[in-house]
Amino acid sequence: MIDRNGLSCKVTVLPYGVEIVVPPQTNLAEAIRKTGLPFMAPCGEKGTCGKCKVLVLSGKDTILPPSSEEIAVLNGLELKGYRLACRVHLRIGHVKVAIQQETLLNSDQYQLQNSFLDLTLKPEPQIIKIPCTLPVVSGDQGEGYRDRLSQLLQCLNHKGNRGSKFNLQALKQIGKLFPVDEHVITLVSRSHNAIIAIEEGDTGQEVLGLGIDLGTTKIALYLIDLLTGSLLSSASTVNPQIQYGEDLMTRLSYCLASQENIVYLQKAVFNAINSLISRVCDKAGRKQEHIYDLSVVGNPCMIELFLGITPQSLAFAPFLPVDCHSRTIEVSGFEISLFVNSSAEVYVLPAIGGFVGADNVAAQLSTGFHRQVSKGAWLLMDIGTNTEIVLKTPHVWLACSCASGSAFEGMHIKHGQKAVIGAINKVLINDVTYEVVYQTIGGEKPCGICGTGLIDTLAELLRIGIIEPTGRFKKGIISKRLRSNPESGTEFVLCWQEETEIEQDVVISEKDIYELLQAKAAIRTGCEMLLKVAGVNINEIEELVIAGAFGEYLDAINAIRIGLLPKVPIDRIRIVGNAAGRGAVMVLVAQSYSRLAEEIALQTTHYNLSRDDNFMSEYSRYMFLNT
Amino acid sequence: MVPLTFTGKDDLFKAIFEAANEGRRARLGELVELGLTNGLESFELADFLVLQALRICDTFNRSEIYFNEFYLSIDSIDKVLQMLRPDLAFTTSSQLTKSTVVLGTIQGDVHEMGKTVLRILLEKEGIQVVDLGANVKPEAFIKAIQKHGARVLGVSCLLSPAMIGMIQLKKRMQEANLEYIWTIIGGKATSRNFAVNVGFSEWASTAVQGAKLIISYLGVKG
Repeated sequence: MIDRNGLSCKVTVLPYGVEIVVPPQTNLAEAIRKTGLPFMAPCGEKGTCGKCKVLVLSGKDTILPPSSEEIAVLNGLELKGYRLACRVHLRIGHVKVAIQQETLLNSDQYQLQNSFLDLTLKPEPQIIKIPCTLPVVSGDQGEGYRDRLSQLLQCLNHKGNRGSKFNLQALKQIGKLFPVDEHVITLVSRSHNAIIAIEEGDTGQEVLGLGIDLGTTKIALYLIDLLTGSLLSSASTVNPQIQYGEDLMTRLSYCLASQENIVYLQKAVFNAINSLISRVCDKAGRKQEHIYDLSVVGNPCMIELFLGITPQSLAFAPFLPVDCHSRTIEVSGFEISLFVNSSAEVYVLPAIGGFVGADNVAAQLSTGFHRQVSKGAWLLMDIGTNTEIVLKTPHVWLACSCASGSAFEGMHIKHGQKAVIGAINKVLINDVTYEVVYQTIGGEKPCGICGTGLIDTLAELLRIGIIEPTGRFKKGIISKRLRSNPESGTEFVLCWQEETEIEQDVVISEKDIYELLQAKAAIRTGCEMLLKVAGVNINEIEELVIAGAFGEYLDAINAIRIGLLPKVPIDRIRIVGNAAGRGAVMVLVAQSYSRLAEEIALQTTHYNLSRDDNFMSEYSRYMFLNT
Repeated sequence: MVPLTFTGKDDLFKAIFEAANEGRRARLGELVELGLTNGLESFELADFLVLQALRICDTFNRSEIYFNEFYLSIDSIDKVLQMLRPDLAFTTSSQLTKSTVVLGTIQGDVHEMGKTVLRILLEKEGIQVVDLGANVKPEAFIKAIQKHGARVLGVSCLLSPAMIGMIQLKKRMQEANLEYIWTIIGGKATSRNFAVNVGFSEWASTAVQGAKLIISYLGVKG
């Protein structure tokens, strides 16, 4: 952009070599994002997290020197030429900056669990496809759309179809269909009611559905063949809204700053979903326009932002969604800019209340949780950035949500990472020598630690007695693996530089442990408070279902040892992976499940933890490792 | 565990020191009772407890303890101080005792530890504190100021979305002609810039600093 005087602010971003011209006063983080690079500002551009630091290579004279607050965050790095991109307002001139790769969101670092795909549902497709042959139009120009239309209708009636309505999208397609020769078309009808699309050729076998799991940190898509109920492909990516705030609260405050910001967040999600749609379709060799049904699950905040609803009421205590919709919301694909069939319908599953949303309903649905009727108690924990917990007994059916944060997903942990190839997922530490035996995903050289590896590490450090129940390292223990780091307290070396892929030691520090403790305390407190409210003793739990972040590698004994999970016998724990995504797919494959989902949403009562006076003291108690 | 027998003031204070560190409310209460029945003065015990609170804030600010330890310690000290309060006749000489301060965490937010520490520190100086708790509506602040003739208002806020409530509060104060009330804000979500922009009198980065600022304001103006 050039201003009236013909002067502009130009930014060059290295090592990518991309350039952009922006109006004066644009902040540097925004300018970098405009180049298309997924640049992070987890604190919501408040200048507090220090994650957006960039090295200014040239053009220092065109920007103002750092403020004292910025210097405080940079902590000496400003002397080497670093700045916080979100604090720098560009002025006329040319600035060259270098960004670190770790500040970019990598879109493909997530892995889906393979155990997902075991659906044994009887498909009840809503979409009926009727391939038929259009005869050549005989006669003069007097015959036209109308005749063609009646021929099509006849054709439908032959198939025993009541349908006589054509929706606008279908009518638009009729115009394109005048054949020169006899040719085959396929009429697409929804529930025998209306013709919603007309396609060239015989596409009778192409009836696709798309399940969308909108997580705070991750978005996952599942492409389903609605005729067979089988999963064709899946893909996932980081939720790009993360650049506007990692946790829901930061994201919400960004939304409330201006109405436009909600549009940005909505667009960010649509863009991500659209690129995932083309990925799942490419993988499966199918076409996007054959997707007719979509289902969406997510927490109420994600859903409200997806639908473009202002999530104001979620931002303040008592944290309630706009609409505790116990009914499925139906939106036509036309109203939502997703690249699918223009007559597609989107089912948004109902929510329960507070931050307990459609994702929890879907998780209950897919784990068969709602069916539990015997006299014991069932507990479902869907662990993620927001963890939802449901307790069901013959007397109560309660759900709560805990702001657990993304530490177990590897965020805020120095060497934390997703469960990708090279991530440490199992750890054993020798009681005497403190030597470490670890296992990585794919058996590659380690590049970081994933959630299950972090749980193992904590549990092992506790078991061999070198950390206190507070999470701090005991004083006076001498080992070459223990050393102090001025920034993060004492740290323990899990693997030495030469063993790793990343040219540095992989460590776990007191600062990392603190993050993990907060996450585990939030999860466990939610769990215990539900049990307490319902008057359920831990021994009465017949089954504890663990869904979400942790895959098959979760060591339940270790998770109990560090107090992440309540102390139930191991054989009563079932680990199920992404239950919410699976629930979304179930609703797609068989519509009867959406009524069941509504039933679940109605029957489950939301318990608001933030209103419980004991929350803080319980939370503080459960932050200790031995509780 | 040390049995509860009185073996002198030093031993008792050492035990109080430990119980405060460990955030053991029941034990702390028992120890204070033990002191009282063995002739120690309420104010002596209270002073020592406040000293522990200050020390614990300090270790927390230096990241030597984690939030949960901080919370449990401060919460137990606070509860025990409240137990002592009825028989406390603080004898601070200044006019501070005549001043009333209204404190609360703004609507939309439930985090109140910083505010609790501030109350402990102000009460130690003999200042009357009206603590409205957490999730306090702007109207409730206005009513409390009017009802108690408060001269100082302290408002805290940890969650950033709740900062909107702070702006509303400022508006309500203007409408109620209470703009002259000296208002100090603090909490993780706030900053000096925010305080200046909205027009509050002061901003404190920690509860301890907040207490100093309030005491010096009341001391000078009093």
